[in-house]
Amino acid sequence: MSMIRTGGGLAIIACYGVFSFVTFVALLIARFSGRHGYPQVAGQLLSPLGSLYSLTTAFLLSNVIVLVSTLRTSITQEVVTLNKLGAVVSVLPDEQRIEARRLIYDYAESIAVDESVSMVNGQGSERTQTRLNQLRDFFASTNATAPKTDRDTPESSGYPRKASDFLFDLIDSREKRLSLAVLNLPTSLWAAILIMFFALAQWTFLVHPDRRGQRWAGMILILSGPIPAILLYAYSHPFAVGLIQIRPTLDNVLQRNL
Amino acid sequence: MSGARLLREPTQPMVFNIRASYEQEIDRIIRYLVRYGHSDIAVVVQQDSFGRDGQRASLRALARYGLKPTLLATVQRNSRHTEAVAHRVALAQPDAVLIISAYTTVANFIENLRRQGSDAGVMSVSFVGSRSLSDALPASLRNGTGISQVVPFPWNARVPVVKENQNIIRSSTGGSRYGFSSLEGFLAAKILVQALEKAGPQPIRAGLIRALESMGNHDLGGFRIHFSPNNHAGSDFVQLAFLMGSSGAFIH
Repeated sequence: MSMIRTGGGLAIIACYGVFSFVTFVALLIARFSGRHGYPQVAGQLLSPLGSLYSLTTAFLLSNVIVLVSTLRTSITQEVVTLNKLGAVVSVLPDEQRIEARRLIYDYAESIAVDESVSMVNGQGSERTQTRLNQLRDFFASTNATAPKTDRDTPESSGYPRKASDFLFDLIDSREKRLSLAVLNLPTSLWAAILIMFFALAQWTFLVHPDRRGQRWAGMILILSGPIPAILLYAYSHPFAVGLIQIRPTLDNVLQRNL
Repeated sequence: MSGARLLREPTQPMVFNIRASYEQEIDRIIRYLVRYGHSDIAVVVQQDSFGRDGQRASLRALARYGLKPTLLATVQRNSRHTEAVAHRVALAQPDAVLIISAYTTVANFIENLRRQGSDAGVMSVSFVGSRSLSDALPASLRNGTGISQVVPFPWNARVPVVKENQNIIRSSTGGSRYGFSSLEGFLAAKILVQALEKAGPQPIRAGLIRALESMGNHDLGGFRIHFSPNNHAGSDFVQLAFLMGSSGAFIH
Protein backbone atom coordinates (compact mmCIF):
# COMPACT_ATOMS: atom_id res chain seq x y z
CA MET A 1 0.00 0.00 0.00
CA SER A 2 2.84 2.38 0.81
CA MET A 3 4.21 1.75 -2.68
CA ILE A 4 0.83 2.75 -4.10
CA ARG A 5 0.84 5.93 -2.06
CA THR A 6 4.42 6.70 -3.13
CA GLY A 7 3.36 6.35 -6.78
CA GLY A 8 0.49 8.79 -6.20
CA GLY A 9 2.77 11.14 -4.27
CA LEU A 10 5.31 11.19 -7.10
CA ALA A 11 2.57 12.00 -9.60
CA ILE A 12 1.44 14.93 -7.46
CA ILE A 13 5.02 16.21 -7.16
CA ALA A 14 5.40 15.82 -10.94
CA CYS A 15 2.17 17.78 -11.42
CA TYR A 16 3.54 20.66 -9.31
CA GLY A 17 6.80 20.43 -11.23
CA VAL A 18 5.10 20.76 -14.61
CA PHE A 19 2.94 23.69 -13.49
CA SER A 20 5.93 25.43 -11.90
CA PHE A 21 7.85 24.99 -15.14
CA VAL A 22 4.96 26.43 -17.19
CA THR A 23 4.71 29.38 -14.77
CA PHE A 24 8.45 29.95 -15.05
CA VAL A 25 8.31 29.87 -18.88
CA ALA A 26 5.39 32.31 -18.85
CA LEU A 27 7.39 34.60 -16.55
CA LEU A 28 10.46 34.44 -18.81
CA ILE A 29 8.41 35.25 -21.90
CA ALA A 30 6.68 38.10 -20.08
CA ARG A 31 10.05 39.57 -19.01
CA PHE A 32 11.55 39.04 -22.44
CA SER A 33 8.67 40.78 -24.15
CA GLY A 34 8.72 43.48 -21.45
CA ARG A 35 12.34 44.48 -22.17
CA HIS A 36 11.14 47.11 -24.59
CA GLY A 37 8.15 48.03 -22.48
CA TYR A 38 5.20 45.95 -21.43
CA PRO A 39 2.29 45.90 -23.88
CA GLN A 40 -0.83 47.62 -22.65
CA VAL A 41 -3.00 44.61 -21.84
CA ALA A 42 -6.38 44.97 -20.24
CA GLY A 43 -6.42 43.75 -16.62
CA GLN A 44 -10.17 43.20 -16.91
CA LEU A 45 -9.57 40.30 -19.31
CA LEU A 46 -7.76 38.41 -16.55
CA SER A 47 -11.00 37.67 -14.74
CA PRO A 48 -12.80 35.90 -17.65
CA LEU A 49 -9.63 33.95 -18.42
CA GLY A 50 -9.33 32.82 -14.77
CA SER A 51 -13.02 31.95 -14.71
CA LEU A 52 -12.68 29.88 -17.86
CA TYR A 53 -9.81 27.90 -16.28
CA SER A 54 -11.67 27.41 -13.01
CA LEU A 55 -14.99 26.47 -14.60
CA THR A 56 -13.44 23.98 -17.04
CA THR A 57 -11.42 22.21 -14.36
CA ALA A 58 -14.36 22.32 -11.93
CA PHE A 59 -16.62 20.74 -14.51
CA LEU A 60 -14.12 17.94 -15.19
CA LEU A 61 -13.56 17.48 -11.49
CA SER A 62 -17.25 17.19 -10.67
CA ASN A 63 -17.53 14.46 -13.32
CA VAL A 64 -14.72 12.35 -11.87
CA ILE A 65 -15.96 12.90 -8.29
CA VAL A 66 -19.34 11.47 -9.33
CA LEU A 67 -17.59 8.47 -10.89
CA VAL A 68 -15.49 7.90 -7.76
CA SER A 69 -18.66 8.01 -5.64
CA THR A 70 -20.15 5.39 -7.96
CA LEU A 71 -17.00 3.31 -7.54
CA ARG A 72 -17.15 3.59 -3.75
CA THR A 73 -20.81 2.54 -3.76
CA SER A 74 -19.98 -0.34 -6.06
CA ILE A 75 -17.25 -1.63 -3.72
CA THR A 76 -19.56 -1.40 -0.72
CA GLN A 77 -22.18 -3.25 -2.75
CA GLU A 78 -19.65 -5.93 -3.66
CA VAL A 79 -18.73 -6.48 0.01
CA VAL A 80 -22.40 -6.59 1.02
CA THR A 81 -23.08 -9.13 -1.75
CA LEU A 82 -20.16 -11.29 -0.57
CA ASN A 83 -21.71 -11.29 2.92
CA LYS A 84 -25.14 -12.14 1.56
CA LEU A 85 -23.83 -14.97 -0.59
CA GLY A 86 -21.93 -16.37 2.41
CA ALA A 87 -25.10 -16.23 4.49
CA VAL A 88 -27.51 -17.62 1.92
CA VAL A 89 -25.56 -20.86 1.50
CA SER A 90 -26.31 -21.73 5.14
CA VAL A 91 -29.21 -23.86 3.83
CA LEU A 92 -26.76 -26.24 2.11
CA PRO A 93 -25.58 -29.45 3.79
CA ASP A 94 -22.25 -29.28 5.67
CA GLU A 95 -19.82 -30.24 2.92
CA GLN A 96 -21.47 -28.11 0.26
CA ARG A 97 -21.79 -25.12 2.57
CA ILE A 98 -18.15 -25.17 3.66
CA GLU A 99 -16.95 -25.46 0.07
CA ALA A 100 -19.18 -22.57 -1.01
CA ARG A 101 -17.98 -20.38 1.83
CA ARG A 102 -14.37 -21.35 1.24
CA LEU A 103 -14.66 -20.28 -2.39
CA ILE A 104 -16.41 -17.03 -1.44
CA TYR A 105 -13.74 -16.16 1.12
CA ASP A 106 -10.96 -17.20 -1.28
CA TYR A 107 -12.39 -14.79 -3.81
CA ALA A 108 -12.60 -11.99 -1.22
CA GLU A 109 -9.06 -12.71 -0.09
CA SER A 110 -7.69 -12.58 -3.63
CA ILE A 111 -9.33 -9.17 -4.17
CA ALA A 112 -7.81 -7.89 -0.92
CA VAL A 113 -4.34 -9.28 -1.62
CA ASP A 114 -3.93 -9.31 -5.42
CA GLU A 115 -6.53 -7.23 -7.18
CA SER A 116 -6.25 -4.27 -4.82
CA VAL A 117 -2.66 -3.95 -6.09
CA SER A 118 -3.27 -4.62 -9.79
CA MET A 119 -6.19 -2.18 -9.82
CA VAL A 120 -3.76 0.68 -9.23
CA ASN A 121 -2.94 0.29 -12.92
CA GLY A 122 -6.54 -0.40 -13.83
CA GLN A 123 -5.84 -4.12 -14.25
CA GLY A 124 -7.75 -7.10 -12.93
CA SER A 125 -5.85 -9.95 -11.30
CA GLU A 126 -5.52 -13.36 -12.96
CA ARG A 127 -5.76 -15.07 -9.58
CA THR A 128 -8.95 -13.20 -8.71
CA GLN A 129 -10.43 -14.14 -12.09
CA THR A 130 -9.57 -17.80 -11.42
CA ARG A 131 -11.21 -17.60 -7.98
CA LEU A 132 -14.32 -16.04 -9.52
CA ASN A 133 -14.46 -18.76 -12.17
CA GLN A 134 -14.23 -21.41 -9.44
CA LEU A 135 -17.09 -19.72 -7.61
CA ARG A 136 -19.19 -19.60 -10.79
CA ASP A 137 -18.42 -23.25 -11.55
CA PHE A 138 -19.48 -24.22 -8.05
CA PHE A 139 -22.81 -22.41 -8.27
CA ALA A 140 -23.41 -23.87 -11.72
CA SER A 141 -22.90 -27.40 -10.39
CA THR A 142 -25.14 -29.75 -8.43
CA ASN A 143 -22.91 -29.08 -5.42
CA ALA A 144 -24.79 -25.81 -4.96
CA THR A 145 -28.18 -27.51 -4.96
CA ALA A 146 -30.01 -27.61 -1.66
CA PRO A 147 -31.65 -30.94 -0.83
CA LYS A 148 -35.42 -31.08 -1.13
CA THR A 149 -37.13 -31.19 2.24
CA ASP A 150 -40.74 -31.45 3.31
CA ARG A 151 -40.51 -28.35 5.44
CA ASP A 152 -39.46 -25.26 3.53
CA THR A 153 -38.33 -22.28 5.57
CA PRO A 154 -38.37 -18.72 4.20
CA GLU A 155 -34.59 -19.05 4.03
CA SER A 156 -34.49 -22.28 2.05
CA SER A 157 -37.40 -21.64 -0.31
CA GLY A 158 -35.81 -18.68 -2.08
CA TYR A 159 -32.29 -20.07 -2.00
CA PRO A 160 -31.58 -20.91 -5.69
CA ARG A 161 -32.87 -17.59 -7.00
CA LYS A 162 -31.13 -15.58 -4.28
CA ALA A 163 -27.80 -17.39 -4.76
CA SER A 164 -27.96 -16.86 -8.51
CA ASP A 165 -28.88 -13.16 -8.12
CA PHE A 166 -26.09 -12.55 -5.62
CA LEU A 167 -23.56 -14.26 -7.85
CA PHE A 168 -24.51 -12.13 -10.84
CA ASP A 169 -24.43 -9.02 -8.64
CA LEU A 170 -20.92 -10.01 -7.57
CA ILE A 171 -19.76 -10.37 -11.17
CA ASP A 172 -21.38 -7.04 -12.12
CA SER A 173 -19.80 -5.26 -9.17
CA ARG A 174 -16.35 -6.52 -10.13
CA GLU A 175 -16.81 -5.40 -13.74
CA LYS A 176 -17.89 -1.98 -12.58
CA ARG A 177 -15.03 -1.75 -10.09
CA LEU A 178 -12.44 -2.65 -12.71
CA SER A 179 -13.84 -0.33 -15.34
CA LEU A 180 -13.77 2.62 -12.91
CA ALA A 181 -10.42 1.76 -11.31
CA VAL A 182 -8.51 4.20 -13.54
CA LEU A 183 -10.45 6.96 -15.24
CA ASN A 184 -7.87 7.90 -17.84
CA LEU A 185 -8.46 11.45 -18.94
CA PRO A 186 -7.36 11.96 -22.59
CA THR A 187 -3.94 13.54 -23.07
CA SER A 188 -5.54 16.28 -25.15
CA LEU A 189 -7.58 17.29 -22.10
CA TRP A 190 -4.47 17.55 -19.92
CA ALA A 191 -2.82 19.57 -22.71
CA ALA A 192 -5.84 21.91 -22.87
CA ILE A 193 -5.66 22.47 -19.09
CA LEU A 194 -1.94 23.26 -19.31
CA ILE A 195 -2.41 25.64 -22.24
CA MET A 196 -5.21 27.44 -20.38
CA PHE A 197 -3.00 27.69 -17.32
CA PHE A 198 -0.10 28.99 -19.43
CA ALA A 199 -2.35 31.67 -20.97
CA LEU A 200 -3.59 32.65 -17.51
CA ALA A 201 -0.02 32.86 -16.16
CA GLN A 202 1.17 34.85 -19.17
CA TRP A 203 -1.68 37.29 -18.89
CA THR A 204 -1.13 37.70 -15.13
CA PHE A 205 2.55 38.56 -15.60
CA LEU A 206 1.77 41.03 -18.37
CA VAL A 207 -0.85 42.73 -16.20
CA HIS A 208 1.76 43.09 -13.41
CA PRO A 209 4.85 44.54 -15.07
CA ASP A 210 6.74 45.31 -11.82
CA ARG A 211 9.06 42.58 -10.53
CA ARG A 212 7.57 42.50 -7.03
CA GLY A 213 4.08 42.07 -8.45
CA GLN A 214 5.31 39.32 -10.76
CA ARG A 215 6.95 37.49 -7.87
CA TRP A 216 3.71 37.54 -5.88
CA ALA A 217 1.63 36.60 -8.92
CA GLY A 218 4.02 33.75 -9.73
CA MET A 219 3.85 32.44 -6.20
CA ILE A 220 0.05 32.55 -6.11
CA LEU A 221 -0.13 30.87 -9.54
CA ILE A 222 2.23 28.06 -8.51
CA LEU A 223 0.34 27.50 -5.29
CA SER A 224 -3.20 27.57 -6.64
CA GLY A 225 -3.00 26.71 -10.34
CA PRO A 226 -2.03 23.02 -10.05
CA ILE A 227 -4.63 22.22 -7.36
CA PRO A 228 -7.53 21.50 -9.76
CA ALA A 229 -5.16 19.39 -11.89
CA ILE A 230 -3.93 17.48 -8.83
CA LEU A 231 -7.50 16.84 -7.71
CA LEU A 232 -8.32 15.69 -11.24
CA TYR A 233 -5.39 13.29 -11.14
CA ALA A 234 -6.29 12.04 -7.66
CA TYR A 235 -9.94 11.42 -8.47
CA SER A 236 -9.11 9.77 -11.76
CA HIS A 237 -6.61 7.42 -10.00
CA PRO A 238 -8.47 6.79 -6.73
CA PHE A 239 -6.62 3.58 -5.87
CA ALA A 240 -3.15 4.91 -6.70
CA VAL A 241 -3.44 7.87 -4.34
CA GLY A 242 -5.24 5.92 -1.63
CA LEU A 243 -8.52 7.82 -2.03
CA ILE A 244 -10.29 4.46 -2.02
CA GLN A 245 -8.84 1.55 -0.09
CA ILE A 246 -10.46 -1.75 -0.85
CA ARG A 247 -8.38 -3.92 1.46
CA PRO A 248 -9.62 -2.60 4.84
CA THR A 249 -13.20 -2.93 3.58
CA LEU A 250 -12.65 -6.55 2.59
CA ASP A 251 -10.66 -7.29 5.74
CA ASN A 252 -13.87 -6.58 7.68
CA VAL A 253 -15.50 -9.47 5.81
CA LEU A 254 -12.52 -11.76 6.23
CA GLN A 255 -12.39 -11.14 9.98
CA ARG A 256 -15.88 -12.49 10.54
CA ASN A 257 -16.31 -16.03 11.79
CA LEU A 258 -19.05 -17.39 9.58
CA MET B 1 -9.36 -34.17 24.96
CA SER B 2 -8.76 -37.05 22.66
CA GLY B 3 -10.40 -39.03 19.91
CA ALA B 4 -7.86 -41.84 20.14
CA ARG B 5 -8.97 -45.39 19.46
CA LEU B 6 -7.45 -46.80 22.62
CA LEU B 7 -9.98 -44.81 24.67
CA ARG B 8 -12.90 -46.32 22.75
CA GLU B 9 -12.07 -49.83 21.62
CA PRO B 10 -12.75 -51.90 23.59
CA THR B 11 -15.22 -49.84 25.61
CA GLN B 12 -13.50 -48.53 28.74
CA PRO B 13 -15.92 -48.70 31.70
CA MET B 14 -14.58 -45.48 33.25
CA VAL B 15 -14.19 -43.44 30.05
CA PHE B 16 -17.07 -41.56 28.41
CA ASN B 17 -16.21 -39.89 25.11
CA ILE B 18 -18.24 -36.86 24.11
CA ARG B 19 -16.32 -36.27 20.89
CA ALA B 20 -16.08 -38.19 17.63
CA SER B 21 -13.01 -40.34 17.04
CA TYR B 22 -9.99 -39.27 14.98
CA GLU B 23 -11.02 -41.96 12.54
CA GLN B 24 -14.38 -40.26 12.00
CA GLU B 25 -12.67 -36.88 11.61
CA ILE B 26 -10.21 -38.24 9.05
CA ASP B 27 -13.00 -40.00 7.23
CA ARG B 28 -14.89 -36.71 6.90
CA ILE B 29 -11.78 -34.87 5.65
CA ILE B 30 -11.04 -37.49 2.99
CA ARG B 31 -14.68 -37.56 1.92
CA TYR B 32 -14.64 -33.78 1.50
CA LEU B 33 -11.35 -33.77 -0.42
CA VAL B 34 -12.42 -36.55 -2.78
CA ARG B 35 -15.82 -34.96 -3.37
CA TYR B 36 -14.17 -31.74 -4.58
CA GLY B 37 -11.73 -33.44 -6.90
CA HIS B 38 -8.59 -33.86 -4.76
CA SER B 39 -7.34 -37.34 -5.46
CA ASP B 40 -3.60 -36.78 -4.95
CA ILE B 41 -3.48 -36.63 -1.19
CA ALA B 42 -0.28 -36.78 0.84
CA VAL B 43 -0.48 -37.97 4.45
CA VAL B 44 1.96 -36.75 7.09
CA VAL B 45 1.71 -38.23 10.59
CA GLN B 46 3.67 -37.77 13.79
CA GLN B 47 5.72 -40.68 15.13
CA ASP B 48 3.65 -41.92 18.06
CA SER B 49 0.46 -43.82 18.76
CA PHE B 50 -1.68 -40.83 17.80
CA GLY B 51 0.13 -40.61 14.46
CA ARG B 52 -0.18 -44.35 13.86
CA ASP B 53 -3.89 -44.12 14.65
CA GLY B 54 -4.18 -41.32 12.10
CA GLN B 55 -2.17 -43.21 9.52
CA ARG B 56 -4.37 -46.28 9.83
CA ALA B 57 -7.54 -44.20 9.56
CA SER B 58 -6.22 -42.23 6.57
CA LEU B 59 -5.26 -45.36 4.64
CA ARG B 60 -8.63 -46.91 5.37
CA ALA B 61 -10.54 -43.78 4.34
CA LEU B 62 -8.52 -43.40 1.12
CA ALA B 63 -8.96 -47.09 0.28
CA ARG B 64 -12.73 -46.58 0.46
CA TYR B 65 -12.35 -44.45 -2.70
CA GLY B 66 -9.78 -46.72 -4.28
CA LEU B 67 -6.98 -44.30 -3.44
CA LYS B 68 -3.55 -44.51 -1.86
CA PRO B 69 -1.63 -41.58 -0.40
CA THR B 70 0.56 -39.78 -2.93
CA LEU B 71 3.16 -39.77 -0.18
CA LEU B 72 3.18 -41.08 3.35
CA ALA B 73 5.67 -39.32 5.61
CA THR B 74 6.34 -38.96 9.31
CA VAL B 75 7.39 -36.06 11.51
CA GLN B 76 8.80 -36.03 15.03
CA ARG B 77 6.34 -35.15 17.76
CA ASN B 78 6.38 -31.37 18.50
CA SER B 79 9.13 -30.92 15.92
CA ARG B 80 9.93 -27.53 14.46
CA HIS B 81 12.21 -29.06 11.85
CA THR B 82 9.93 -30.12 9.02
CA GLU B 83 12.01 -28.79 6.10
CA ALA B 84 12.91 -32.24 4.80
CA VAL B 85 9.35 -33.59 5.01
CA ALA B 86 7.95 -30.43 3.40
CA HIS B 87 10.51 -30.78 0.61
CA ARG B 88 9.47 -34.38 -0.04
CA VAL B 89 5.78 -33.46 -0.01
CA ALA B 90 6.33 -30.54 -2.38
CA LEU B 91 8.20 -32.82 -4.79
CA ALA B 92 5.29 -35.27 -4.75
CA GLN B 93 2.99 -32.43 -5.92
CA PRO B 94 -0.19 -33.46 -4.11
CA ASP B 95 -3.52 -31.57 -4.40
CA ALA B 96 -3.93 -31.72 -0.66
CA VAL B 97 -2.01 -32.73 2.45
CA LEU B 98 -3.54 -34.32 5.53
CA ILE B 99 -1.26 -33.78 8.50
CA ILE B 100 -1.85 -35.45 11.85
CA SER B 101 0.21 -33.61 14.43
CA ALA B 102 0.14 -30.80 16.99
CA TYR B 103 -0.03 -27.11 16.08
CA THR B 104 3.67 -26.27 16.42
CA THR B 105 4.64 -28.96 13.92
CA VAL B 106 1.72 -28.24 11.59
CA ALA B 107 2.45 -24.49 11.53
CA ASN B 108 6.11 -25.15 10.86
CA PHE B 109 5.24 -27.66 8.14
CA ILE B 110 2.88 -25.21 6.38
CA GLU B 111 5.56 -22.51 6.42
CA ASN B 112 8.12 -24.88 4.91
CA LEU B 113 5.66 -26.28 2.38
CA ARG B 114 4.80 -22.80 1.08
CA ARG B 115 8.49 -21.92 1.01
CA GLN B 116 8.96 -24.92 -1.28
CA GLY B 117 6.39 -23.41 -3.65
CA SER B 118 3.56 -25.87 -3.00
CA ASP B 119 0.03 -24.47 -2.81
CA ALA B 120 -1.57 -27.78 -1.83
CA GLY B 121 -4.46 -27.40 0.60
CA VAL B 122 -3.53 -28.46 4.13
CA MET B 123 -6.04 -30.22 6.38
CA SER B 124 -5.74 -31.44 9.95
CA VAL B 125 -7.84 -32.91 12.73
CA SER B 126 -9.21 -31.13 15.83
CA PHE B 127 -6.29 -32.35 17.96
CA VAL B 128 -4.12 -29.72 16.25
CA GLY B 129 -5.76 -26.92 18.29
CA SER B 130 -7.53 -24.56 15.93
CA ARG B 131 -6.86 -21.26 17.68
CA SER B 132 -3.31 -22.23 18.59
CA LEU B 133 -2.59 -23.17 14.97
CA SER B 134 -4.04 -19.88 13.75
CA ASP B 135 -1.88 -17.95 16.24
CA ALA B 136 1.25 -19.97 15.38
CA LEU B 137 0.92 -19.34 11.64
CA PRO B 138 2.19 -16.14 10.05
CA ALA B 139 -0.80 -14.01 8.98
CA SER B 140 -0.01 -14.45 5.29
CA LEU B 141 -0.20 -18.26 5.56
CA ARG B 142 -3.41 -18.64 7.54
CA ASN B 143 -5.79 -18.58 4.62
CA GLY B 144 -7.24 -21.92 3.51
CA THR B 145 -6.11 -24.35 6.22
CA GLY B 146 -8.89 -26.83 6.96
CA ILE B 147 -9.51 -28.43 10.36
CA SER B 148 -12.13 -31.01 11.28
CA GLN B 149 -14.15 -30.08 14.38
CA VAL B 150 -16.03 -32.25 16.81
CA VAL B 151 -18.28 -29.60 18.33
CA PRO B 152 -20.72 -27.17 16.68
CA PHE B 153 -19.33 -23.91 15.31
CA PRO B 154 -18.80 -21.72 18.42
CA TRP B 155 -19.95 -18.55 16.59
CA ASN B 156 -23.19 -20.05 15.28
CA ALA B 157 -25.73 -18.72 17.76
CA ARG B 158 -28.51 -20.57 15.97
CA VAL B 159 -27.46 -23.73 17.82
CA PRO B 160 -29.08 -23.42 21.29
CA VAL B 161 -26.15 -24.87 23.26
CA VAL B 162 -23.75 -22.53 21.43
CA LYS B 163 -26.01 -19.57 22.23
CA GLU B 164 -26.00 -20.62 25.89
CA ASN B 165 -22.20 -20.85 25.85
CA GLN B 166 -21.91 -17.44 24.18
CA ASN B 167 -24.23 -15.85 26.76
CA ILE B 168 -22.12 -17.23 29.61
CA ILE B 169 -18.87 -16.07 28.00
CA ARG B 170 -20.32 -12.61 27.35
CA SER B 171 -21.50 -12.27 30.95
CA SER B 172 -18.14 -13.38 32.36
CA THR B 173 -15.44 -10.86 33.12
CA GLY B 174 -12.43 -12.99 32.26
CA GLY B 175 -12.19 -11.70 28.68
CA SER B 176 -12.65 -15.20 27.25
CA ARG B 177 -13.24 -15.68 23.54
CA TYR B 178 -15.53 -18.11 21.79
CA GLY B 179 -13.59 -21.15 20.66
CA PHE B 180 -13.78 -24.83 19.81
CA SER B 181 -11.88 -26.00 22.89
CA SER B 182 -13.86 -23.89 25.35
CA LEU B 183 -17.12 -25.08 23.80
CA GLU B 184 -15.96 -28.69 24.11
CA GLY B 185 -15.14 -28.06 27.78
CA PHE B 186 -18.54 -26.46 28.25
CA LEU B 187 -20.29 -29.48 26.71
CA ALA B 188 -18.30 -31.89 28.88
CA ALA B 189 -19.13 -29.90 32.02
CA LYS B 190 -22.79 -29.73 31.06
CA ILE B 191 -23.01 -33.49 30.58
CA LEU B 192 -21.20 -34.15 33.84
CA VAL B 193 -23.48 -31.80 35.80
CA GLN B 194 -26.60 -33.36 34.27
CA ALA B 195 -25.28 -36.84 35.08
CA LEU B 196 -24.48 -35.78 38.67
CA GLU B 197 -27.99 -34.40 39.06
CA LYS B 198 -29.37 -37.66 37.73
CA ALA B 199 -27.15 -39.68 40.06
CA GLY B 200 -29.03 -38.36 43.09
CA PRO B 201 -28.15 -36.34 46.19
CA GLN B 202 -25.20 -38.50 47.16
CA PRO B 203 -23.47 -39.39 43.94
CA ILE B 204 -20.93 -42.17 44.06
CA ARG B 205 -18.73 -43.46 41.22
CA ALA B 206 -21.04 -46.34 40.30
CA GLY B 207 -24.09 -44.06 40.44
CA LEU B 208 -22.47 -41.53 38.14
CA ILE B 209 -21.57 -44.24 35.63
CA ARG B 210 -25.11 -45.58 35.76
CA ALA B 211 -26.49 -42.08 35.25
CA LEU B 212 -24.27 -41.51 32.22
CA GLU B 213 -25.03 -44.89 30.71
CA SER B 214 -28.76 -44.34 31.12
CA MET B 215 -28.71 -41.02 29.31
CA GLY B 216 -29.61 -42.68 26.03
CA ASN B 217 -30.05 -40.31 23.11
CA HIS B 218 -29.67 -36.97 24.84
CA ASP B 219 -29.96 -33.54 23.20
CA LEU B 220 -27.86 -30.83 24.82
CA GLY B 221 -29.37 -28.20 22.53
CA GLY B 222 -28.27 -28.88 18.98
CA PHE B 223 -25.56 -31.33 20.07
CA ARG B 224 -26.65 -34.90 20.65
CA ILE B 225 -24.86 -37.54 22.67
CA HIS B 226 -25.74 -41.18 23.04
CA PHE B 227 -24.43 -43.30 25.89
CA SER B 228 -25.43 -46.83 26.83
CA PRO B 229 -23.79 -49.62 28.84
CA ASN B 230 -22.24 -50.92 25.62
CA ASN B 231 -21.45 -47.59 24.05
CA HIS B 232 -19.27 -44.95 25.65
CA ALA B 233 -18.53 -43.16 22.38
CA GLY B 234 -21.22 -40.54 22.77
CA SER B 235 -20.92 -38.46 19.62
CA ASP B 236 -20.10 -38.83 15.96
CA PHE B 237 -20.50 -35.13 15.24
CA VAL B 238 -17.83 -33.91 12.79
CA GLN B 239 -17.85 -30.66 10.88
CA LEU B 240 -15.16 -28.99 8.80
CA ALA B 241 -13.92 -25.47 9.42
CA PHE B 242 -11.40 -23.43 7.48
CA LEU B 243 -9.11 -20.64 8.53
CA MET B 244 -9.72 -17.76 6.13
CA GLY B 245 -8.01 -14.46 5.47
CA SER B 246 -5.04 -13.18 7.39
CA SER B 247 -6.90 -12.48 10.61
CA GLY B 248 -7.46 -16.13 11.49
CA ALA B 249 -11.24 -16.12 11.20
CA PHE B 250 -13.03 -19.44 10.80
CA ILE B 251 -15.74 -20.42 8.36
CA HIS B 252 -17.87 -23.54 8.64
